[in-house]
Amino acid sequence: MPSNYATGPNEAEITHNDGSDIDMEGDDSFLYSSGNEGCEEDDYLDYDEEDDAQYSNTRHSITAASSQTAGGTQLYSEDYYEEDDEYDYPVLNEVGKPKLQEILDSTSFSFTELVTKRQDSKIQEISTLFSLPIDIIEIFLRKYKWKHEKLIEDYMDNPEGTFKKTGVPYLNPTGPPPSSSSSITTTTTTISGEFDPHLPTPSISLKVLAPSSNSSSSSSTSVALNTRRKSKQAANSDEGLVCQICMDECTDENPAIVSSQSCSHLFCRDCWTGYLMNKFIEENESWNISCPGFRCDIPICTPYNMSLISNGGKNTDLDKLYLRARVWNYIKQNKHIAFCVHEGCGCVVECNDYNSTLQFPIPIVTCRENHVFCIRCEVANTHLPCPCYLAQAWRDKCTNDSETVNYIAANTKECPSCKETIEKNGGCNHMTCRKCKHEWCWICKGPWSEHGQNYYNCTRFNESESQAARDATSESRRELERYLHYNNHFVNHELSIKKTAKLHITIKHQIQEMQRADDSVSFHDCQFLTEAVDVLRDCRETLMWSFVLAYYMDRSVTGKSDNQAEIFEQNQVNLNFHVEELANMIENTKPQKIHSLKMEIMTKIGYVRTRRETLLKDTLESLQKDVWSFRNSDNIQFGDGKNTLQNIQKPDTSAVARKSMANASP
Amino acid sequence: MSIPKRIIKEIQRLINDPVPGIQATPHDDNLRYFEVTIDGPQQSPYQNGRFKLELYLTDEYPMAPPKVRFLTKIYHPNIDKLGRICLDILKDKWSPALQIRTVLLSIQALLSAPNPDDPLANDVAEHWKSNEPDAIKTAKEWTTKFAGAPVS
Repeated sequence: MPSNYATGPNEAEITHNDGSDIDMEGDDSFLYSSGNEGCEEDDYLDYDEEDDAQYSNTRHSITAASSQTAGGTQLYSEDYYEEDDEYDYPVLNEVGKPKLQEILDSTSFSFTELVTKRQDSKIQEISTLFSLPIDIIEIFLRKYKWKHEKLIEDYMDNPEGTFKKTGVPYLNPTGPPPSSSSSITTTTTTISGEFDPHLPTPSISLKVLAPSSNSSSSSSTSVALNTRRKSKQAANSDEGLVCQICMDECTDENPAIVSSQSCSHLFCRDCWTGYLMNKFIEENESWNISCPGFRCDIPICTPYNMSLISNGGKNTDLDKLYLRARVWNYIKQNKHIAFCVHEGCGCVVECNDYNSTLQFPIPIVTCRENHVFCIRCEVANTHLPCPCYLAQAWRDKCTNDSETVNYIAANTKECPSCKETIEKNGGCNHMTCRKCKHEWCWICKGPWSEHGQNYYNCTRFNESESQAARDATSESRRELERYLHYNNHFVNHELSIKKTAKLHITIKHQIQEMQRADDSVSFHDCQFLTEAVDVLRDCRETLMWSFVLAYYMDRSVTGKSDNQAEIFEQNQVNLNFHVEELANMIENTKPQKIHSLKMEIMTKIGYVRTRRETLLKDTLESLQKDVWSFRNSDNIQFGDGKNTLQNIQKPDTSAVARKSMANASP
Repeated sequence: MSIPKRIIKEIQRLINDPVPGIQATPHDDNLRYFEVTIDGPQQSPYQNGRFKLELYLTDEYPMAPPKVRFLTKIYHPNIDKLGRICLDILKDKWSPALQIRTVLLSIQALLSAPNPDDPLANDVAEHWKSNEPDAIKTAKEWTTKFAGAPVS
């Protein structure tokens, strides 16, 4: 049950009423009707009484949530993935454009089910296109990091190459595979004739073998294999099918499952389960699981195989882990999808549009629980108006003082390919990144393939580079003072934000007290206080990050940007001043007097909000026009950011204004 | 913790059907801990040496590889001074279908075919690459000195 239901739609509405005017008309009815349509018939019928009750409750809460999200987001009502075996939730269609203009169009859905649906539909689509079973497509897509356009392109060019690249034994969709035995041909004929993507694929699908002792003929599909296996076994011992892992004889309860027909490795169901559990839990492996056989690279982690191993879903632990790994892999590989970064929130947010750093310096999205975050940085604050690459550089810089980061700096290096932090725990300099499988040299961080001869004395680590490193150290001394100045401002606001959060709670209590004391004070009358705290919080966050922007802004080189920078600084000073005034007003006023100050406070709220929006708007315009240059003293990793900044053409400003976060007048 | 049937079977097979040149004896107190001796392969710098190793089967075995280490000092580009071995099947290429005997056979094979292109002991690898005859000479000396091979 989503938490915002408990607090009631009313209250949720208030706490989030900080943005521009929110239009709630029509949302409700729309949500209800589309909700029913989007729900799959089968599952809908499966509800028992209890689920039904929960279901309708959830529906209420979505309505509440969506009206405050200010629309713009496609909402799905379903909470945590533990619950999702029970019910299939309605899919709510897009409500409209975002009303809080700083929030990008995004889609928010829950952890497992809808991502799975999305995955499945993509797999299904390509499966039909290629006339290949879904199991193979799943492996293809996983190896292609879910970049389906790339997969389609590659496959159309060279289907055999795609099979080779992904480790799947070649299967010609329109004819029998190269090495066909009798049992394989029957299956393939089905594939080429009437194509059913859900049929197991002989080349990568597992097969359950009956214990050979008395029932080898019962399983007709596996006769060929079974006999082969039997004859091999017979040479070793008189036993039946022996698992190659536990070396036990397979039984009816724990049957032998043979790996794909191309490798024929045989293990019992318990060992298959153990192997996969170990991969999922201990090695945190989510996509690259191959047959347990020695030097066997046949990928085995497909839906069909998993259901076979978990005995049609009887092993719920394994199924859950698999589902989690599957979704996790999809989300991690897909740049447009991110988990909501707020603790305990199970939402997933999709945003397709934020690639261009120039158009969207800060892609802010909101999940259906109303958590706001930057989808590029995936951290809990919005860091407006500071672009992602600067915010990231700042965060790195701030944590650089801590002992942990010292340790990380001393003992780890980033994978040159995927930037994962890697610790060398012994062994040779030949590193293989567990995440992206990139092979590189620990010493120079270059690709290992170029190091065949230079393993011990990396020629790239030359004198000029170490000289540069020394120069950088001395420069950082001079930088320190400047850094401390801005950091001071930053930390001050950060502290105040922590206090405003506290203030929020105090004010809620105060309102309740005031209502108890005086009946004439309605709940509505006091909303301005809550609003004030929210506005304060937002403004402080903006200010906080505006100091970061100021820190990185390089005013020495850019004559052209001086005017813009001047405006920015004026805006900053102005906002800072009025924010402190507002804070003073609400913090230092006694509850009895607050009512008399209501008009004054409300005017201030309006003013400060406008100032903030102006600051954000101006800053964003400048960022989008790329008029500022930023200091590179911290070796800012511009990543996709700066590259796009340089490569992209100046965006169509009207489109930017429409689509981006630039605030229009309230 | 009880010993899985697989380990018992492996031990039985190691005793009843030993691999030539390799002895692996489980410890009396702990059947997961093995004292191993590998004879240096013929036509290698380690010929006539007897190398002691320790092998430990973790609780995750056979899903995780055994831990193996040379106890006898050895001059080899893929084995460092602590006796740690750089061998893919002991790391990411481990398969649960592998066994103690296959692991030990692989180590024996590594003695016959050092691979200085994927080194663990950089100084040894460097020596091997720059002056192989000299490195082999040192390896032979170490074999005599530490692994009990007769002076050649």
